[in-house]
Amino acid sequence: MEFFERIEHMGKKTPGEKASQVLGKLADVIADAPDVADLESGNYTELFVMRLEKAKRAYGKAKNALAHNNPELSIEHAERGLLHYELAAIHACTEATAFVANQTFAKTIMHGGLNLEETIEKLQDAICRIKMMIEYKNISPSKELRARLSTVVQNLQDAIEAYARNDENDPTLVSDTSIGGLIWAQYIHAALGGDALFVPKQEARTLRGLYQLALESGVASYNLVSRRIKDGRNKINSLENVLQSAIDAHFEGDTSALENFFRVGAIEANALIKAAAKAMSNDAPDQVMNEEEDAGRSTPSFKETVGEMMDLIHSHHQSPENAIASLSYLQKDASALKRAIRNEEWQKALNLVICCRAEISTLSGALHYFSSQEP
Amino acid sequence: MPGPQKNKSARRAAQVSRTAILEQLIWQLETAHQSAAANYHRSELAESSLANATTTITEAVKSLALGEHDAVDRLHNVAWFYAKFAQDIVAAESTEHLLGNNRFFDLIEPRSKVQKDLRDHLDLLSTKIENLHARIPQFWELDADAAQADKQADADGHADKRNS
Repeated sequence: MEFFERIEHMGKKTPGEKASQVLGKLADVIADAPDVADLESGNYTELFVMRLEKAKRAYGKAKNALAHNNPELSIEHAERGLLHYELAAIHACTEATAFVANQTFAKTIMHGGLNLEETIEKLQDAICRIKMMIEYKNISPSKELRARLSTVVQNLQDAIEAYARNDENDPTLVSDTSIGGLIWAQYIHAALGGDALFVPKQEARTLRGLYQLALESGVASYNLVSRRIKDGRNKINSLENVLQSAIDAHFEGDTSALENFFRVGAIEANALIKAAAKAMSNDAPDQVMNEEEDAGRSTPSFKETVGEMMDLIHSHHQSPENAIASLSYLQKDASALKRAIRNEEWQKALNLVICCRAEISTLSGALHYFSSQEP
Repeated sequence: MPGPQKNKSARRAAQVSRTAILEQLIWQLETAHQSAAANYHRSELAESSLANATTTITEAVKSLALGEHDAVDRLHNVAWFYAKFAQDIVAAESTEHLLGNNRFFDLIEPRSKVQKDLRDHLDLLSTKIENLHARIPQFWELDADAAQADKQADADGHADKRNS
């Protein structure tokens, strides 16, 4: 063997030798770790203890892997253990500070052209500004606006999850989801407060029209009277549909459709403002319907109640399938029960009552999910 | 000019430091949130954001140990997004508390509220079923009960015979 080959061979360790070396190093740092009592009070002691415990667990796993002749796995655990210890050491010598609002973190910009990180943060800010406005102005948002806001929060969650997945097949998913959330945030803010969350002129040129449409639609539906007249509610629904269609057209790159939606939206918003003004005038006072009266007038039907339950279960249950199936059976049996009573098929009706009671009992059991699960 | 190995080691050191900074921020936020929950309001959204941030940091540490530096940068950003959202919520509610209004708005329905709404809806459905039941003539129900009792007696009689 040539001299240099021998030198090179000496430098190369077998996996077993390397595992022993890394494990030994981890054992040493754990043995030399300071006692909690010796740490300066006021440092991140809890985090130090947590990381040191993880280092010890990693040591145990690395030792076990080596004993079972798996040096590669042993190295992996031991290196992770050393990293845990490194973090523990930083926590041990850092002075703990109390929570201060508006702390920042230097993000790594990973998609410079798309500005994904900024868009996600902008959506977070928008949601929190709406929350602060609601709390500060003591506003009670309508059920519909609450649902819209929940969807925006869900957009944020979806955008962060898509960002974490780094899906190469759909790199625009994060930006589209966030932008959709931002446009709806603009609408919600205007509908609750009557003014803009974002000034359209200050936004990216391609998005100005959408921000403007969201603002106009929101401001038009801001007037409480709009929501109390049937015509107003219909127009609000229509405006919201136009806004969603415009957002879809923007993502599809259909500029001609987008321009049409802008025009239709502006007309509808104007019509809504006029309808509310007309209802407020003395000419048509009976059109203005009190919300309380409205609520009292219509007790939700069986089907509507089942629909609301399905929405709630879909939004809040991690595995809603069984509860949804029970609800579907219940609705089907309740309809059959009504028919049986109408046709005076009493035996059938009695059987269906028993089925409905059983389904209600199953559903009642399924509701325990919400008290037993952590958020 | 630093070699690639040196660059790699500098990047690793920076990432270890950033992991520690994020972990400390999450710890501060958890402490602040626990105090808020005990004194004025528990935000389930802040809580779940902090839980997500912690899970992401755990993933970042795993990736860092494996030398997957691009993944670590991405996971740091994700942990920051979750932590920042929790930070904004905790800060907003702290301001609301300091202003003395204590009127907190939950961005997502708290579980307790969802459970109550579902319970109320289910009670309403149950009432509607019982109202329909009340429309079934009582004599029919009595007859049906009697028929059921006869059937049961017959079944019991057969069983007794079989047993004897």
